[in-house]
Amino acid sequence: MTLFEPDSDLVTGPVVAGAPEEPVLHVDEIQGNVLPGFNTRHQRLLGIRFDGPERARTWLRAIADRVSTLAAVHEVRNVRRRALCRGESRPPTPVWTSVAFSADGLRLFTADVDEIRELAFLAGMAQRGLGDPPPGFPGHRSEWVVGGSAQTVPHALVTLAADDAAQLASPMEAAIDGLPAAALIFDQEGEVLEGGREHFGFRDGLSQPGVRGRLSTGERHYLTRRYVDPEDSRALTDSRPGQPLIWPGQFVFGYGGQRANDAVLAGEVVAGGPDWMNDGSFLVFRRLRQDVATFRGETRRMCADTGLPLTAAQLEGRLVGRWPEGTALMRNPERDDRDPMADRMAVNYFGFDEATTPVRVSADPCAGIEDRALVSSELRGVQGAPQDDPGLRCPRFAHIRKVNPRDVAPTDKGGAEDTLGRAIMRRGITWGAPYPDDPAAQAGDDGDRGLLFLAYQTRISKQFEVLNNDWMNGSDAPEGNAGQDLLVGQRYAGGKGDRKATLLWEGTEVSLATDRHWVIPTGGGYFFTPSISTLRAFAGT
Amino acid sequence: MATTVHPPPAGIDDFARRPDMAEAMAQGWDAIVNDWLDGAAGYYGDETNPSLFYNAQRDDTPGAGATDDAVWDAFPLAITKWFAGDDDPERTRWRAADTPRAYPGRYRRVVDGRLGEPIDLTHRQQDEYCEWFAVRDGEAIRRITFTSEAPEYWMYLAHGTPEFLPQGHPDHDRFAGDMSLVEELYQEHVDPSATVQDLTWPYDVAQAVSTSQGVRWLLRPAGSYNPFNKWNTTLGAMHLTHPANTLGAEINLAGGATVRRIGPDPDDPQALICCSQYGDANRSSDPIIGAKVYEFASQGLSVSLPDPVGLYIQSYNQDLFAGPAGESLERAWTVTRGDQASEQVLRLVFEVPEDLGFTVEDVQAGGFPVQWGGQVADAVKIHLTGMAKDLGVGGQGRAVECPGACCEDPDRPGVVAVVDVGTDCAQIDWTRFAPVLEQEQALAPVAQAVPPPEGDGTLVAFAVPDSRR
Repeated sequence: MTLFEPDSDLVTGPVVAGAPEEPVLHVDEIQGNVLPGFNTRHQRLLGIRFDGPERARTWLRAIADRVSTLAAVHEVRNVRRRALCRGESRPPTPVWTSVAFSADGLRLFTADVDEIRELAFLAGMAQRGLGDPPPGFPGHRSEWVVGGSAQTVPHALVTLAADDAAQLASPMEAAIDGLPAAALIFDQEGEVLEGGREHFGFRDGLSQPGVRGRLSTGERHYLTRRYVDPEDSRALTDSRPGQPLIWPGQFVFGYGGQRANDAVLAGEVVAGGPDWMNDGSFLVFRRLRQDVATFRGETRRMCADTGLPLTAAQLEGRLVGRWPEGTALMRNPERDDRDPMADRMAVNYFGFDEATTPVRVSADPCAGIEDRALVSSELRGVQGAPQDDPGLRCPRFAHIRKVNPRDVAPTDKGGAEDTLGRAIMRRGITWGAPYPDDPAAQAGDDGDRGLLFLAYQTRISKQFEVLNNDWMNGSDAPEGNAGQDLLVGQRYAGGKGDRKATLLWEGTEVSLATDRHWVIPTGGGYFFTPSISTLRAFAGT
Repeated sequence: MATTVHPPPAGIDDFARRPDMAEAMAQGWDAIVNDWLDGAAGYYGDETNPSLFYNAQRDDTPGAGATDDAVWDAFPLAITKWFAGDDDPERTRWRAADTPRAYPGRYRRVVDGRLGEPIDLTHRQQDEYCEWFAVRDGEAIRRITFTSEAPEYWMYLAHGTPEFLPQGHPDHDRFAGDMSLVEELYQEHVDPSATVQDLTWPYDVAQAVSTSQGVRWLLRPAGSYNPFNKWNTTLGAMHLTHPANTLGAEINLAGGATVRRIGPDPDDPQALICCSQYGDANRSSDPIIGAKVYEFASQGLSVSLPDPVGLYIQSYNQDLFAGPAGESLERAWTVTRGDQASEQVLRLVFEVPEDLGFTVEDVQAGGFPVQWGGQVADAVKIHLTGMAKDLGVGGQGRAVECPGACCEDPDRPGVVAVVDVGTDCAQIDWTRFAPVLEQEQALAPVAQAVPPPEGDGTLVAFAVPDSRR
C-alpha cells in the first residue's frame, strides 16, 4: 500500500484508485493569499483610491513585483511544517503582499470590465442588499468606514501580512509611496487573538475546504495534503475527515469547478469573462463590528426569558454550533473536549443528516495528535459522530450549520453536492483589543473590535451571497424549521430587528427572539484579485 | 376516522362569496382532494409492498404527524442551468424566464365534430410551482404579480365536481361550477375589464389529456373555461400555466417519492428523481420535494400532505431591493391571496406605492434596475410542507429496483434528462430542454405533437378519464 509521506513536500497524498487527475495550478500566477493563504498573526488592510489611470499604473508598477505568489507562500509553509515536525520554533515569516481591485479600480486599467459575468461584482457590495441595517440604524452603509458608497469603495485593497506588526511599518510606507495623502481612504490593522478566537470567544476558521490541484506535474504533489485511507472511498472526496475536496475553479478562475451533482469529477472550467481573469479570484470583504456586551447580555436575557436551564455560555455554544475551544456540538453536545485541537483529523469530522462512521487516516506527526515515533505507513482510526437531523445536538439555526450544512439533503438549493459548490475560502482576521473582563474597564470600552471577514471565490452570487442572504438571514433555509442565524445573520424586517429561531429542548419547541444586533457591518466591498501576469499587464511592465 | 374537511388552498375564502353554494363547494373540493390522495395512496403500493403515502383524513391512529418543510427558489433552476455558460448568464436567464413559450398541439379547434387546426397558446416557462407576470406600460414594468395557485382549483371553480369526479361518484354532481365567480376573481386580481367571454373558449375545443390508456382527446364545448386565456397568459397571471405546475403533479411526486429504491444515494436529490422518475431533475422543486419525502419514507414513516393541500409562496427577501435614492421597498410587497403569517401565500404583488414617487422600473435589484420580473423572482421562495407518521407499515415493505436513470448533457454539465434504465444517452436531443428566449419563437406555428383520435376521428364528449396519471 502506498501511503501519505508526511516528511515529503513533493508527495502529499496516497495513490487512490479511481481518483480523477487534478490540474496543475499556476503557482507563480495565483496570489498567495488566495491559495494557500497568508494566515499570519498580523495583517494590515489598506484601501486606496487613485486620482486617475496614470497614477494607478505608476503605483501598480511599483508594487506588482512585491505581490506574493502561491509558490512563495507555500514554500514558507513547508519550511514551517518541517520545523514543527522537528519540534523547532516557528521560523520567521517574510512580509507578504496581496492586491485586489474593485470594479471601478479595474476600469483604471482596462476597458472591458463590463464583460465580467458576475453582476454582483460589478454592482458592488453596498448595492447588493445583504440584509444590512436600513437608514437610521447603526451599521447603515451611510455610516460605513469604507465602501458604503461609490466614492468610498477603494480602487485597490492591499493586504500586508507578517507575524509581527513591526514588520509591516516599512512595507506600509512603500505601499503608499508616491500617492497623495488623500489616496489612502482606509487603513485597518488586524491581529489574531489568543487561541485563534474571535471576539465572542470562539475559535474561528476551523473548517476550510480542501482545494484540489497539484503544485507540479508530480502525480501526487497536491496543494492540499491527503490523509484518508486510500482503500476507503472517502479518499476520493475528502482530504481529511470532514474536509471535502473542492475543485479549484470554485476559488480561482481558469480551472474546473465543482459539479452540482457529483463530488468527485470536475465540472466545467470556470470563466469570469475576460481572459485576464484567469488565475484570479473575487475577494469579498466585510468589516463587521462585534458588540460583545450586547451578545452576552442578550444570550443571558434569552435564557432568563425562556426559562431554559442553560447558562448563557451554553446558549452561545448553540448559536455557534461549537464550544469555545472548537469542539463541535455534533461531536460533544455537553462541553469542549479537553484539547480539541490536538486531533485535527477529528475536529471537523461530523455531519448533520447522517452519522459519520469511523475512518482510518495516515499518521502525520505534524497534524497535532501524532507521536513523532509513528512511522508514515501506519493508519489510525478517527471516531465518527451521530446524526442529528432534527437539530437536537446542534440546532438547525447554529451558525456552522447554517453556513455549511454539510450532508443535509435536501437544502433549499439541492443536495449535499450542491452545498459543496457554495463553499468559500475564508481569510478573515480579527481587529481591535479583546473585550475586557474587568467590569470597570467594560464601562469605558469603546466597542471598537470585530472581524475583517475576507473570503475568496469565483461566483459571489452563488457562494457568499447564498450563504449570507439565503442561509444566514433566511428563516427556513438551508433547512426548514430552522430560524435565522442569530449569531451573524442580519434581519431588519418591519424596520426593526426581529430575528427568531426555534430551539428544540426536551421535546418542546422554545422560541428564541431578539431585536438587538451584535454583529454590525461597518464597511466592505467586492474586489478582484488578479494573477501576477494580469497585474504586470495592467501596470504596463 | 378523522372528520375534518380538506379546505381549499391556503383556506382561501372564495366559497364564501357564494353563500348559497358555499357548503357544496367545500364538500366538493374535499371530495376531490380525497380522491387524489386516496388515488396516490393506492397507486404507490400493493399488498406485498404497502404504500407509504396516505391520506391523513383516513388516519384514525392517535397522535399527530411530524411536519417538515421543503423550500426552494421560485426562479426556474432549469433556465439558470441552461444559460450558466452564457457570456451574460444573469440577464439571459432573466430574459428567458419572462418569455412565454408555445404549448404545442395539446388544444385544437373542433370542426364538425372532428379535430381541426391546432390553437396557438402559450404558457410561462416558470416551472417551480410559482409563476409571475410583469405588467408593463410600454417597456417599463409597473407591477409584478406572483402566483402559486394550481390550475385545478380554477378548473374546479369554473366546472365544479364533474371536472374531476367520474360519473357514479357520490360527489360527482356536488357543485356545477360558477364562471361568474371566476370572472369576479379575475376582475379583482388581474384586470377589472376581464369578462366571461375573455376567459372561455369561443368555440368547441379538443384537449389532449394523457391517461393510463394513452392520450385521449376531450371535447371542451364553447363557453368552457380556458386556462390559457389572455388574462392568464399574455396580459396577466391568475394561476399557474406551466404543464408541470399542477396539484396533481405535486401529489404524484410525493406519492412516487415514498417508494423505496435500491441503489440511489438518499442524500442525492437528483439521483433519487432519476431513479424513481417522479419529476424533472433540472428543477429545484421536484428533486427537493422528492428527497424530503424519501427521507421520511426511508425511515419507515408514512407520508402525507397536510391541509390545506397546496404549494405556497413561503417568503420574499425585501432586502434585495431599494429605490433610486435607497428607499426601503417594504411596502411594495402585498399579499393579495393566501396568508402570510402561516407562510401560505397564493398571490403576491410587487408594486411601488404611489406616494414614493417612482415605479418598479426605477427600483434597483442588487444594483441594477428592474427590467424583468425574474429579477424580483430571485427574492422569492416556495415551499411544501410534508407530514410523516409511523403507521406501522414501514417495516413491511421492501426497496425496489430503479426504473429510471440520469443522462447528462455533455455540453451543459448539470442539465439532466430522466430516462428509462438502459437508454442510450447519446440519442437524446438536448435542444428540447432549451428555454425559448424570443417571443417570436414562442408564437411560431405549433407542432402537431399529439396524434388524432383513432378510428374515424370523432370526438367524444368531455368526461373524466379513468386515470390521468
